Amino acid sequence: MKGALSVANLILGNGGAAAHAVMGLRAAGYSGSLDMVSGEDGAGFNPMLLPYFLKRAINHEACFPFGPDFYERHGVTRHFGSPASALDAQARTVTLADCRTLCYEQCLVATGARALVPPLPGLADNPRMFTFRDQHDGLRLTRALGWARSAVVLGGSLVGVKLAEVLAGRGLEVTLVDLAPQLLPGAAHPLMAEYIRGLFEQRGVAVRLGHELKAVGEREGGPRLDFQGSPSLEADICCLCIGVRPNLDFLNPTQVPLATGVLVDETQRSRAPGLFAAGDAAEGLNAQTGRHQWFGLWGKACYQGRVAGWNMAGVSRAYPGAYAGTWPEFITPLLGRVFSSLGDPNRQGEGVRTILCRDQQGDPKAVLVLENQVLVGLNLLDQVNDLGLLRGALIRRLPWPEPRNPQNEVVLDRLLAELGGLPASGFLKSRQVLRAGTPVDFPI
Amino acid sequence: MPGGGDTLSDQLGFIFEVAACSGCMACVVACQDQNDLPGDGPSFRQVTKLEQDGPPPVLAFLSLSCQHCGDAPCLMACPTGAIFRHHPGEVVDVNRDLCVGCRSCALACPFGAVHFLADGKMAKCNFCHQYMAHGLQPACVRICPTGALRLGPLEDYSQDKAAQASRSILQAAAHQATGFKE
Repeated sequence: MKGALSVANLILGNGGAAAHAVMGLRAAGYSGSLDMVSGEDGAGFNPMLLPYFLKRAINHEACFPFGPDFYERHGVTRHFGSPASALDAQARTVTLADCRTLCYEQCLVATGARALVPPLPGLADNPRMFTFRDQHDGLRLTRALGWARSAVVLGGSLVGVKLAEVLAGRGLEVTLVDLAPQLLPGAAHPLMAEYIRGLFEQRGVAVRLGHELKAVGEREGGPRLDFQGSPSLEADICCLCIGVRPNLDFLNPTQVPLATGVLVDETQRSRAPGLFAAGDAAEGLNAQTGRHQWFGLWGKACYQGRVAGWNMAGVSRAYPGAYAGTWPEFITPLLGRVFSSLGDPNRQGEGVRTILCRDQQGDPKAVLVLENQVLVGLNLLDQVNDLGLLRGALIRRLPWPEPRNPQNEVVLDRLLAELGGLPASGFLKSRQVLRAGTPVDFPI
Repeated sequence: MPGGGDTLSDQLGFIFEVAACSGCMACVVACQDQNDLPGDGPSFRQVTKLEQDGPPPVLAFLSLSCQHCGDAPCLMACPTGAIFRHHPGEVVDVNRDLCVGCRSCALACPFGAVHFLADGKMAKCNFCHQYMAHGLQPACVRICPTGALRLGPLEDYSQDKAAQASRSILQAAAHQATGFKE
């Protein structure tokens, strides 16, 4: 194409997937040119760190884990400050917003995602409405915390609950609102979600569930949020955490099959020639279900990017590695506890059995969901050091022991002891982790 | 592949002889002491007793710490870059100044080898890297009275020896018959 710049390997995006693709290409021995396109003009940002920045656990520079010298270290030519505006998958060209055109041999779409802002009256243009996704959001919200005394957080999924916790910790009067009838919908079993709701209320955070936002109005001193069939809420600021949308507006869906993200196989290849996708822009295969699923998690984005880099370099590798985890999972400190979710803790249907584990006080410690005696979903509070065992059982789809208690209510320690008998970690059957000073009980 | 964990070049590892371990726990105490860990808190090294009443009766011990995986999942999961490798030796270590305590590494680690101290930040075995820089062995290796624990380049650990160690563990595991089918 006349006037177009020809490049061998082009990476669209500048986040975790993009950086790990670069490192994967170089690790695989690719020494040719690498070109990267990004709308931002700076180092790659990790949105997962925003709550920690807002909490003042880290400074703003720490939100850029690869550092400003990443590109020089890895021989990357930057085309920054102008995002991709169109991609012709047949002609293998990318047009940037500043009208430059790049012809590629192979291209990785790792453009990440942006905060979802629904088209509701008064929402998008309200000056006191804050999204919580990119580096600018973090700085803007930090400035607002200098004067705001109250906040409504819209969205009770992982980002929303983390933000509500941080805002409450910084002294704001916080109301957490979600359309769903529970917090952490999809990630938490209703019983665990109810317990977490109680933790929030103990911290003074009001939780409003089943609230559908209708419009955002103006009032003196802040926004007024109007809900369908529920009383309005007023606060100094409103934080929108209802989800993200992949940055894929530049793709033509008739050329590149899309769902939530670009549909890719285990090698991160799309169905378009020479076109790969990774991270929030991609929709990979869920190892549990065999169906495409959008994950939206930092660690998985990094793995996907690395696999894409390897394959772009000609090293054939597939994504579903045992440790990478091609299924939904996350872990986070929350309200003084550590909450983790693996697989599908809300699985329902024939052959599905849910085991609730409580501690001595009667509070839930774990929810384990079995389908045909195989662990398919899990919620855990604390017990971090046992997570590897449980994750291993889920990954390997190992049969679970029959419960000895007909009420299906057993303590987690006993379940873990039973789990330790699985052949994958067979030597752990009578697992007794000894501590210093523990007398060794010799059986013979 | 560098960064991909396919090579053992320069990779150090703990070498553990199951038959030589007496379960004395000296390695656990030495680790706690070296790393200023509380006596009732975590140790970066754990000893597990494997026992079977028999017949034949079996008693064995397994001393485990971080495996310093060639393709370390904790390193990939870390959102801040706090987990890194020392070169040479490929030792997986953590810069606690960068750790935010998000626990992503705990979810990623298949061995339960990462620990969180009272400040909420992660800590783990680093082969006593500061000792190694001066030509010394890790505390757990130095204290082991039977020589069950050693440290060395994995390349020097021949396939035969690796197979022998694997057989020892599997034989112990075989006596733990559970009836579960994989």
